[in-house]
Amino acid sequence: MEETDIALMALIKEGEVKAFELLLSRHQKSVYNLALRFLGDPDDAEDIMQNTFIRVYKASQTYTPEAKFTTWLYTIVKNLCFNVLRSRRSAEIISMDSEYLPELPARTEDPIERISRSQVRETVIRAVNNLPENMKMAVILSKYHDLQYDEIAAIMGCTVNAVKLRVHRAKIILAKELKGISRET
Amino acid sequence: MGCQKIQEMLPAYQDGALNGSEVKDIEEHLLVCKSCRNMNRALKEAWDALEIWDDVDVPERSRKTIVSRLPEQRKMYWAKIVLPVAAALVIVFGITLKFSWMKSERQMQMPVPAPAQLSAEQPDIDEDDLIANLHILQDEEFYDSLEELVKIDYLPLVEEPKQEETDKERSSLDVPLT
Repeated sequence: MEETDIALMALIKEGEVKAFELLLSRHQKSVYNLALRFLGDPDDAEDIMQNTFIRVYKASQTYTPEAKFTTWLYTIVKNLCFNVLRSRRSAEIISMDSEYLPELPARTEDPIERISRSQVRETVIRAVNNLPENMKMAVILSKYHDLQYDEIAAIMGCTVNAVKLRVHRAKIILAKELKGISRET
Repeated sequence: MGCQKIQEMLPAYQDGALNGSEVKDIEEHLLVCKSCRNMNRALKEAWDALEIWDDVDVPERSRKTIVSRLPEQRKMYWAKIVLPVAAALVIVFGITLKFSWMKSERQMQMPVPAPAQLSAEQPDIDEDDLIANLHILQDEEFYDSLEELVKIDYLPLVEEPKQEETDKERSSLDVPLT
């Protein structure tokens, strides 16, 4: 039987490195991609993933499951992401979000279709990156992590209605930005 | 309801977050308004279009780095517990030591009361005891005790005879040598 995340945390507390590695395998991709989509920088995303799991390991000694494990995990990621944004702002580094475009997976498409798909992807990423920070985080958690509004509210430390409002407004902005684009895919 | 209001409510409509009458209003409006129908479709298509942004694989080195940092984290955890306890013990020990040193120093610095002060502070001197113990007193104590006895009029104050008188007495006592 597969151990739950909370059971793994209890084992990590006892010093079971294997349990930690299992937890890492289970969540590293979602943590990395959340940070990557939000910050748009692979190095920052990697740092955040490392720091998140080191915090998880350290916190295992005092961890008490009060909510879903992923809610707690994503809260750590969200906080670290906003810290990076703050330090970027204080260092007056202009984020070149649109510069980062992940490589396309290999597909059996003809060249014209691939170019079109690449352009659509670029447009989509730019549209998401242009959203205000809180809206962007809510959209990423909702769309790419399949989280319910109440879970997103817990992660972001706001009300469920505030999350709904952010996602709904983001949908309207994205609809205007991406008008007609989906028909090209 | 106007088109602007309807279009603002469309995301909530798609989420199924509206009540029955609001849903009815929107659906009736969509039947007659092409612009809002287009917006309704655009909202759904844009949301679906986000799926093109695929997940990326995590760099393998990142996983190795995390696992390699674990032992130092465990040491740091214990250090976090042990160090404050040790520091607290040192502080408590230091404070105790300081207080005991201050106490002993205060006792050493405390002035020994002068005999005059003694007599003032202790008016009830046991005269019999003082006289009985005169023989075991050291010189200074002996004279101090004598002063005490004089003060309490036990001993009369005897003036020392002047040198001339002493000489006269001596000379009167002198027996001429024959």
